[in-house]
Amino acid sequence: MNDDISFGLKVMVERAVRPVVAPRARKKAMREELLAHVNEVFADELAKSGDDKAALARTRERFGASDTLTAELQRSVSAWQRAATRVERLDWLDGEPIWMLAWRHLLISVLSFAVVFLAIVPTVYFRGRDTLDFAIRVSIVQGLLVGPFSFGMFVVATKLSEALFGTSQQRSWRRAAVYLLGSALLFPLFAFFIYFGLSSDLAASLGHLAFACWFIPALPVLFIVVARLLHKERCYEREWSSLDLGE
Amino acid sequence: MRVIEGDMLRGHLDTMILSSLENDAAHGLEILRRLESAGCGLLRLKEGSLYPALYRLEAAGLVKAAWEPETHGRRGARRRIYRLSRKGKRQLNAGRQAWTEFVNVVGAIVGAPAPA
Repeated sequence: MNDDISFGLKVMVERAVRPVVAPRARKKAMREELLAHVNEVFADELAKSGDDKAALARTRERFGASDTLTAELQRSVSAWQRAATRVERLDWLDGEPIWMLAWRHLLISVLSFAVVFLAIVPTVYFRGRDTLDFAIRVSIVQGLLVGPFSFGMFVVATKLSEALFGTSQQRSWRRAAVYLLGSALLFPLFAFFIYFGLSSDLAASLGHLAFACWFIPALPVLFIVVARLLHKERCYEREWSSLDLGE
Repeated sequence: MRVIEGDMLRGHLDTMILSSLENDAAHGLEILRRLESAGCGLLRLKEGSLYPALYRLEAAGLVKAAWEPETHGRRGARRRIYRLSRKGKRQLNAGRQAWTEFVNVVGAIVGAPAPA
């Protein structure tokens, strides 16, 4: 099979799958299965006609109209899976300015503050006001820290992925070392600020920081694994999103 | 005989797919081949449409699917093998019953009763 045919078959699949709103893993599974199908149909048709172009046209005809298939695929995606695609939007997209990522994580902070505040504070208020101050503090502290922490994780993982596995211009051992250091410090700092925010006790918070430091050797390893997975995922996404569907 | 396609298939596709998997597991293209063979070549289904139906059946627990380990030269693309679940077998029996009732009722109305 030559590259033009391979491209034509992938475009056939991507026309149907790209507009579907579904989690990335689900769309990846759809693409793989549909691609296996059209590859086999093409081989069947080529064996019958012996002509590449005729076989491709016949494969397209058997496969069906892409817009109809898109609608059918969309109907097979549950509401829960559609909601899960929103969580994926926390990811730092290829070529996206950093402020857009920061903005989304700021929204996460505000949202998590609102959810915790609305869930905890009324409960505490009606069951007895003794712990009301603490409940308010919990919602404020987690609201202030969740967004920056998740933002930091995504930035470090993405930048580490580029520094270790990216293009030759992106690769840099020096930058990788900086991001690995960042990955090692992220969790202990988060633990410190959470405890300090809740207790205002500096000495005890430093104790928690010291305890969290035990995890420091494991964190860079974990981030390298995540960076590798992220790189593979990005390469896959780029391969499919770069296909010109000619529409 | 006329070719059966499009709207005429709607509503029966799920039961036909379950029926094609009754005796043996199969991947998508093999399911289509079985349907085509059982329909004596008169069944015309846009092949892509099979997969959303399989996904729906899988989500409903009527079929179970597993990735084939090898790509067999399909440029890195693996197939999924579908097999009927217990719930799917029960649904297939219910589907057959519903079909028989449908044919009896509609056959009587249009003056073409089902053969005894």
